[in-house]
Amino acid sequence: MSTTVTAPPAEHPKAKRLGLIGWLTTTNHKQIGWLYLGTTFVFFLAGGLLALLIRIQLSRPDMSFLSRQEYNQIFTIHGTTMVFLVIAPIGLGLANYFVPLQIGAPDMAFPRMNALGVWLFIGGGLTIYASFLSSHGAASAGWTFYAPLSDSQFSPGAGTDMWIMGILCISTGSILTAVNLMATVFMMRAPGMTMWRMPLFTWNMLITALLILVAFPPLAGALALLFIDRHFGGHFYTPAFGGSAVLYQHLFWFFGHPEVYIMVLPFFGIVTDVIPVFSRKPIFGYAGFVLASMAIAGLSMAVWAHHMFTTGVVDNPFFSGMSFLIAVPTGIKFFNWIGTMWRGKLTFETPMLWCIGFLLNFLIGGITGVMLASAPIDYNMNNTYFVVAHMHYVLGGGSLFAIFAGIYYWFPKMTGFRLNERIGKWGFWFTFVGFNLTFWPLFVAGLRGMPRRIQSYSPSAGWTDPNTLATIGFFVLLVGVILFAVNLIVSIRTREPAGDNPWDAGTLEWATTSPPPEHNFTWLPPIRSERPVFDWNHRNDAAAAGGDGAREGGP
Amino acid sequence: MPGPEDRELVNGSWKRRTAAGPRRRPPWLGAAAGSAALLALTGCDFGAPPGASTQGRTIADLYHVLWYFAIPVGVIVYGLILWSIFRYRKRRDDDGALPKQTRYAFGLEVTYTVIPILMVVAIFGFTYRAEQKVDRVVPNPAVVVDVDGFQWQWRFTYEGKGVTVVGTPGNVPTLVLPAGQTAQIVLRSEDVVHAFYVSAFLFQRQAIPGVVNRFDLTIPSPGSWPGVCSQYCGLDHTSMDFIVRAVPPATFQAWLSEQQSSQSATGGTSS
Amino acid sequence: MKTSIRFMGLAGLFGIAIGIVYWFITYEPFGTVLLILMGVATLIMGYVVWRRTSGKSFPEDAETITYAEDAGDEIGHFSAGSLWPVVMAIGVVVGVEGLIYGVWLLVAGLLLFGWATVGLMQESRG
Repeated sequence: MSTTVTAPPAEHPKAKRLGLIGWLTTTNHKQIGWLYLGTTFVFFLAGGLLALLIRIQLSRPDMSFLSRQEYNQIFTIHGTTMVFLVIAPIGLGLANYFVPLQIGAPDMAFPRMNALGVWLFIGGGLTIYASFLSSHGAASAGWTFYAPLSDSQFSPGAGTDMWIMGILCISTGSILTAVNLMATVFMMRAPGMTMWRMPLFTWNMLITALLILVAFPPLAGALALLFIDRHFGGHFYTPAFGGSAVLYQHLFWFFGHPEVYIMVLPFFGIVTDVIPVFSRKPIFGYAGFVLASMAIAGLSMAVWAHHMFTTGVVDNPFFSGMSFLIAVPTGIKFFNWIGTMWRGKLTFETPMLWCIGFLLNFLIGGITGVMLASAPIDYNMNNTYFVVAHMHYVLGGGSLFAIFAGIYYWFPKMTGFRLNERIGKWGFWFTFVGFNLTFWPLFVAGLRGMPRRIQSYSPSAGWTDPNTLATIGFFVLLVGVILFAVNLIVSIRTREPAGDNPWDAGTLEWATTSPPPEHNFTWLPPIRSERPVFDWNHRNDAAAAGGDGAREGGP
Repeated sequence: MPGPEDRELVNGSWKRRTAAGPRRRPPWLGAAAGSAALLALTGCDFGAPPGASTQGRTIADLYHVLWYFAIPVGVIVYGLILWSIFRYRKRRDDDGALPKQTRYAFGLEVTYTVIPILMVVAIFGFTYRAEQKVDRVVPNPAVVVDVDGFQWQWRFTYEGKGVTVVGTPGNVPTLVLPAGQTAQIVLRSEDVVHAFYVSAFLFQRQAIPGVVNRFDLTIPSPGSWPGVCSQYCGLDHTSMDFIVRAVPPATFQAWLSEQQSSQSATGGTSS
Repeated sequence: MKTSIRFMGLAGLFGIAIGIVYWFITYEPFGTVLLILMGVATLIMGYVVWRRTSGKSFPEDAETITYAEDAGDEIGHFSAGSLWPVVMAIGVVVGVEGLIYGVWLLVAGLLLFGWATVGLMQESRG
């Protein structure tokens, strides 16, 4: 080990406070990360409010709390919000903040393009919400926006067009950020930070960035063609004039399936960074995990038509087979996570609780996903509440729980003080119980034949009990979310100092101060493994890595 | 106070001293419990309808098979997670030493890659076979019905019989079919994408403008089952319901004749 | 840089291979075109990285380098803040609304976009 390495400095430069102009013109990746996190939190509350309205309307049969027009707009914008304005951008926001830190870089490769990305995202989101004020109201074609329903004949009105334009802006912002992420990871790693020593959050963000680059252009194309059909006399999707309605589904789902992995891979990465810290062991099977992520990303591009099994015009066995294959690398990850905990010394601070909740929930989502991958099973379940339950288990029970793990884990680093542990634990349990109480009954409703996107149902259908239970569960879930907001407020008031590395974690972001200075590092430890800070802090502990920090295993 | 020689104090209670440390639950116990649960569930429907059509019965059987794969996977993985949480949590009297920093185990990693691949190959085999059965259309069905979806009703036209049934707001159309025979549905849409879904048959197919979808319904016994449109199609998607009613073949022929005469008399369709 | 290039090469070849397999199983044109072009696009990215970095060695890929050995190189230029990204974004958002609500908005958006482009270029040069 080199003798010229010095210890980290005791004093750190104070972060300057930004005014409005400061926030509008920042190009610093950490502040852009805050912009993403703040905006997505507001959109999360908005989307959650829409969900509350849906659950009230569906709590009992034949309710008219919402009219059909209102209901159709609300579920459309709820889905759009959670997919495009919450889950995916939180991944980009956390990546913005932490990928440069994790690889030892001073910022992202293209700081101004980074800012352009976040402002396009915010502008696109505001456009979509502004559409509620247009004459026909917001778009109401479902977040999947199938043609011909989304065409001008069946969805007239500016709201639909504003949705299209908002999504195009968001897509452009995502693509620019993906380019930035790839360039940063390829070209701006610190000396010694080889690709196979990067933290798994960074690896997964790299792979997510590639997915964004190949998935969003087909969506932009699909929507551009739709806009031409709507306003410039195009007939891409109108069969009467030689177009194809199925073309829309192919283009949309070629984007749509990788999109769900864009919404899950970053959060697999977070969980993979957090579990080793609270198990006091390195990640089990690092190389296997990276290869599994690549396999998931690659396969995810080849399964899109499992959303089209009931169209009758795609080769169902090809897509069933490819979709079943994705279960294998996902299973490998589960064994990586379990193998990390195995024979470790686990503690259950709030970040770890969220990770455990993630594991338990995502397993249900994953197993039901394998069922849906079987085309004949999908003949029964497609477009029923079984699918709704499955997707909420993977995106809510999975990604959202992992997001909370990341926020509780990284909040000390971003702010310098801790989130309250006690409120955090109460918040976790309310969210975990509430989440399962809301969405497990929806599996039952789907198996009893309840289709999606219906505004009401009759008492004789047999769907009442699961729906009432789900609404009760939603209120429990709401308490969990409120507790999180309370935690934010209380912690900001109390400001219990966290220090540089409250969790004894290993990746490079913990080598700098909390919060980091403007260009991130004034000192770096030597990088010889995937957890250089741990190696440095435990350099005198023979049990830490078997010697002088030499990395074992992996390429 | 010193305890008996073969016991040691662990976490405040006396445990039998064994070579491997404090006594742990025998590993076969979990597998036995899981298998017992599995056997108990073989009589279970797992929440889905049993299948009122032969195609639906095939799907229901496949659904059960998938559960027989899902349950052991779930039990094992949940078991491992919960076991880790309880067995490997940091004890209050922990000495602060790091546990063994295992990074990989090549043989284990290969095993837990290969076994799932074999499992999904098996599941794919079951799936492929079931799908061939469900999607098969016979060359000479007993009756062919053109089913047209449009915003926001269904129209059933019995090919070659001059009989049409259409739904009106507040009046759900009934698709009458002969029980014990194979009916063929020719599914079309007149405007946006709809889907013809009967939960009791565990079956749905999209009605896409510009596409003609064809499928068989073979309903062994008479009965009546609700159907819905399962592809969101606009404002009144919620009320685009229908009913499928299977009646004995003689009753079906009688119904057809009655419809033919009444519809040619009124010159229109019935609902 | 080997890993990055291999990663994109592998992803690109996978896309093309799956596209070919998909064609001969399904004869479905939309998916085939999407898969193959996706593979080609990824290969192009990998090719560019390979051309730009071949023959060079990078400190981040050196397994046992020390900071003293790499000291002194400028990593890059990181601006302190810039007005132009938000102006450009406003131009884009306003401009696309012009496609819905009227040409005058489109013109306004294009003007803002153009102004921001010039501003960004001047910033880079200055």
